[in-house]
Amino acid sequence: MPASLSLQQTPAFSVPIPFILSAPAFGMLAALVLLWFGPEPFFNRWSAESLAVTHMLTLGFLLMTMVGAMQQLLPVLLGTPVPAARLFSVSVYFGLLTGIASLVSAWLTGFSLLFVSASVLLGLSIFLFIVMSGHCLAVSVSAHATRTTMLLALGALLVTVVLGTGLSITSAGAGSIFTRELTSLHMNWGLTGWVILLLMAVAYQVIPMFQITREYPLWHRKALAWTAVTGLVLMTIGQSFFEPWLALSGNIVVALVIMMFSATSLVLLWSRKRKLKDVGVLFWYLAFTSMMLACVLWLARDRLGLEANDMLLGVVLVVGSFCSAANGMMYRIVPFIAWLHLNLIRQQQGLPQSTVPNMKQLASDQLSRVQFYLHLSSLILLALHYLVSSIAFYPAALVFFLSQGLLLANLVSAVEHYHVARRTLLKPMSC
Amino acid sequence: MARQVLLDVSDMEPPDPLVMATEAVSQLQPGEYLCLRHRRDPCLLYEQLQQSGFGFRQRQGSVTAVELLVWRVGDTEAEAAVVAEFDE
Repeated sequence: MPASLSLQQTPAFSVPIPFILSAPAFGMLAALVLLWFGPEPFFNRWSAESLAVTHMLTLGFLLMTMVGAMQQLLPVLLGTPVPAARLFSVSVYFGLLTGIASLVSAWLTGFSLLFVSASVLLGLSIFLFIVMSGHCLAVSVSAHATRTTMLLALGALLVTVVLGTGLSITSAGAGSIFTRELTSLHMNWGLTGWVILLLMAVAYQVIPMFQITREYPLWHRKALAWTAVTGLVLMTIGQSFFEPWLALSGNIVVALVIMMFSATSLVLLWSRKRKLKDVGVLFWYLAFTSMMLACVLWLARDRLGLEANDMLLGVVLVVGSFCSAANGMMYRIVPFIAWLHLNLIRQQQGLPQSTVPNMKQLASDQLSRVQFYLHLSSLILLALHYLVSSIAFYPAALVFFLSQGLLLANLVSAVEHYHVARRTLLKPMSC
Repeated sequence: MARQVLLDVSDMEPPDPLVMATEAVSQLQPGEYLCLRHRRDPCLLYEQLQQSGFGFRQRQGSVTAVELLVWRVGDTEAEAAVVAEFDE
C-alpha cells in the first residue's frame, strides 16, 4: 500500500498565517523608510538606511514568508509535522518580529544597544527554527530531493545567522572578531545560499505540482544544490585566506548554478502542459528572469562601470527575484491552507465536497493580477532610479508601498473568506 | 460484470484532483471501481479513502505516471475485478 499523508498532520491555520501576513507589512514599512529618507542614502549599500531597508526585505519579507511556508510544507509535503507546532510558531514569530524591529531601529536611530537585543532575539529565534526544521527533515522518510535541498538551505541559514549575529554585535561595539569584510560572506550565504537553495527545494515540488510542468531533471535535483554549496565553501575559503582566485572561482560556480536553476525553471514553465491563466506563473516568470538578469549584472559588473551597480544588483535579485517568488507563492499557500482546513472540517462532518469553496473563490485572481503589475512597475521604476535618474525614486517607493498594501489586503481577504466559510461549515453542528 | 470508471486528473492543478477523485468515488455504483490516472502519487487522498470506506491499490500507469484503482469496501465484485487487473 502506498504511503499516506495525513491531513490531520497539517498545522493549525493560525500557525503559518501570522508569518505570511507580516511579510507585506514589512514591505510597506520598507517603502515608508524609502519615502521618509529620500534617494540620497540609497546610493550607498553601506548606509544605515540601506542596511535597514535591505533587512526589512530579507528578514521581514523573505524570512518571515519562508519560515511560515516551511511550517506548512514540512508536514504536508514531507510528512513530518513540527512538534509542539503552536508553541514553536509563537516563539519563533515573536523572536523574529522583535528582533527585526530591534535591528532596523538600531540602524535608523543609531542606538547601539539595540544591536545587542537584535542579535539575541534574531539569533535565538532563527536557531530554534533551524533546530526544529532540521529535526523534522532528519526524521522524514521522504526520498524527494526537496528534503536534502532544504537541509542544505538550513545549513546556509545557520552560517548566515552566525555571521549576521557577529556583525550585529560588532556594530554595537561589543567585539571585534567579526570584521566588515565578512559582510559579503554573510550576504552570499544568506542570499545565494539560504534563499536560492530554499527556492530550489520549494520549486522542485510546487512548480511541477501547481504549474503542471515536467519534473526538474534528475541531475538537476541531485547535483545542483550540492554544487552551489561547494561554490559557497570555495568562496568562503578564498575570502578567509585572502586567495582572490579561489573566491572568484566560488563566485562563478554559484553564479552558474543560479543561471542553470533559473534557465531550467523558465524552460519548464514555458513548455508546461497546460497553460493555466494564473497570476502565480507571472510571478515565477518575473522571479526567474530577474534571477538570470542579476547573474548577468554580477558577471558584467566591472565592465558596466555603473556607480550604483551593487544597489541595482540588490534590487534585481531581492525585489525582482526573491520577493516576486515569495509573493507568488503567498497567493498559492494562503488559499491552499484555507482550503485544506475547510476540507478537513468537511471530511470530519461527512459533508459533500461542494460545501467547501474552491481556491479561486478564496482569493481574487483579478486583484492579485493588479498587484503583480504594481510590483512589476515598482521594480522597473527602482531600476530606472539607478540606471537613469533619481526622479524615479519617489514614484518607485510609492508604487512599492501600494503593491505591498494590496498584497496584504488580498491575503487578509483570503483569510476572512476562510473564517466565513469555516463558520458556515460549523453552523449545523452547533444547531 | 464489474465496470471500470475512468478519471484522468493528470492535467489538473491541486486541489482539483483530490476534489474530483473524492466526488467520483462517492458516486460509485455496486460493481463499479474507479481507475484514477494521475501524474503524481495522490498521498492526501489515501487517508480520505480509508476513512470513507474505500479500498485502493496503486500501480505505475501506462498512460500516466500513477494509476490508482479504488473500490467500495464490501463490493466483492469490484474488488475481484481490481485484483484480476493487478494479476494480469
